[in-house]
Amino acid sequence: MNEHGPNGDQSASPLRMWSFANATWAGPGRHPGEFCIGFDDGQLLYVSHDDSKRTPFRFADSDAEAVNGVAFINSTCAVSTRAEVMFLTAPAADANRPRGIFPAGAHGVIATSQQTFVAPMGHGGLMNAWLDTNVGIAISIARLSNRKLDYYKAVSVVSCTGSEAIVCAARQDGIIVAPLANGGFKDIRVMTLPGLDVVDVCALGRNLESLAAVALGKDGTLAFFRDVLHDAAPTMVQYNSIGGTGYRVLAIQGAIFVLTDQGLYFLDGLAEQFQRGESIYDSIRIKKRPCEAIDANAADNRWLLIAENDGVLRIDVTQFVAAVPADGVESQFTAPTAPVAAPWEMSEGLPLITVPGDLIAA
Amino acid sequence: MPTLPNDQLHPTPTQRSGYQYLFTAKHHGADRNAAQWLPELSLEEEFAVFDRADQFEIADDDGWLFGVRPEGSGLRELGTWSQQVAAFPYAREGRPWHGYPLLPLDNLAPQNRQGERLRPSKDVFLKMEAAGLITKRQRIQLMKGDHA
Repeated sequence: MNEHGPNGDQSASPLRMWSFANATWAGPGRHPGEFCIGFDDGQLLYVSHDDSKRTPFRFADSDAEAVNGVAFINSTCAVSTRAEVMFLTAPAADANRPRGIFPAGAHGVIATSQQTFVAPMGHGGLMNAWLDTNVGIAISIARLSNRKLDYYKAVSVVSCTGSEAIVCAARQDGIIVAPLANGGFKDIRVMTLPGLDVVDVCALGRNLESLAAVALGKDGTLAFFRDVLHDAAPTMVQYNSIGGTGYRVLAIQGAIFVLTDQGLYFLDGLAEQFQRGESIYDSIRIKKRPCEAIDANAADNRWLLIAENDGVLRIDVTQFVAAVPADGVESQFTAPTAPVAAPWEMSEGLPLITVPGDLIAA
Repeated sequence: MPTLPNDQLHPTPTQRSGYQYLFTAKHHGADRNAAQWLPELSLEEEFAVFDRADQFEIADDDGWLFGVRPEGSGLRELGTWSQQVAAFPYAREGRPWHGYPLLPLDNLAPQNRQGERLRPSKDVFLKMEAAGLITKRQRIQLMKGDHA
């Protein structure tokens, strides 16, 4: 596997490109100090932060689907694809084989602070999986019985009091908030803005006083929630300089990163401003790095990993924030606009039905 | 396209294979549990997706055809659930084809349908890329079940 940087010498650059053919996902690894990269054949690769160690891990058969999410809870790993969610518990003699497969696709998988795996399964609902001393991995699927919602992307939002909610980007359905208590879901609230296609959501930080999050519309609209459980409507902003189809939104070190099909946009200090209760309608510095991005994830609140067409771009956010624009990065001050929109439609306390799911032994 | 009260045959066949195409009421409002074509998509646009799938032979091993509709630098949504890929199940010779927008994920299938292959296969996306219908990035995003 080759490495190269935009300017050759990468020693002083916050950007580092690893050439990996067919990478589809990149994010945190099994422990701090490690990244995990997923590929289009279901394979995983663990890479230490300093790249001194690379450990390939063939999780699946050679004809497996492309990895779209990876999460870890202690020694258990969950990998999602559009066809299935695979679980592996280690150590084992046959450690490279999955121990269980849930035979339905998901748009990703995350680990919660309550030691469960959650996977948004589109119209199938929200999968919740936990370690069970009797059956190994127990599964349940939660969904509304009377309304088909699109559980598209999910994130865990945790407050300093320990309360936790799973927040889903739900495309035309808006945003779904499912409080997680005792490892399970009881009810949800759904917030819909007609015309807004919500494609991603992220927590504004961990251990904040409230469950703060930001959602991304496909058109680049950002919707900030101070408390996803109680806000009647978010604070919304749009920037003309953010162009293209929105894919991902991430908050790292008080900044917001937006990934579109035109590149990566860095919105300096915007999350921090919102958390401090300041107006977010003032001009801010926006950096743009054009790229052919497929996916992006944060790691250890320091790194931003972007899966691109021909490799994985690792950004050291700490250096990137301070750096003078370089490496093809454009920078400009931009004032946002407040989108004029219809009122958000709110449905609260909607009861979920929960059905057990069965794993196929691998 | 508004709701169709009845199935409706397209007046002309596809350019390459001469396949006839049937706009089905089921996927135009009659069955709310079935995938629905986007109302804003005209019947001609729907047929164009099928015609182009046939033109470039975007088929899987079972003979199903699959289509997309490029728009600007992206892909147009085809279905009411944000679907961007359409499936056209194989039709026997002399019978008209039909199609519907395809959900991006493999759903938990009923027991009698478990073991059926995931559609479209990865090969289908590669054919779309080779035909210039989608970019490499869009192929990978669709293969992941993401929007492109």
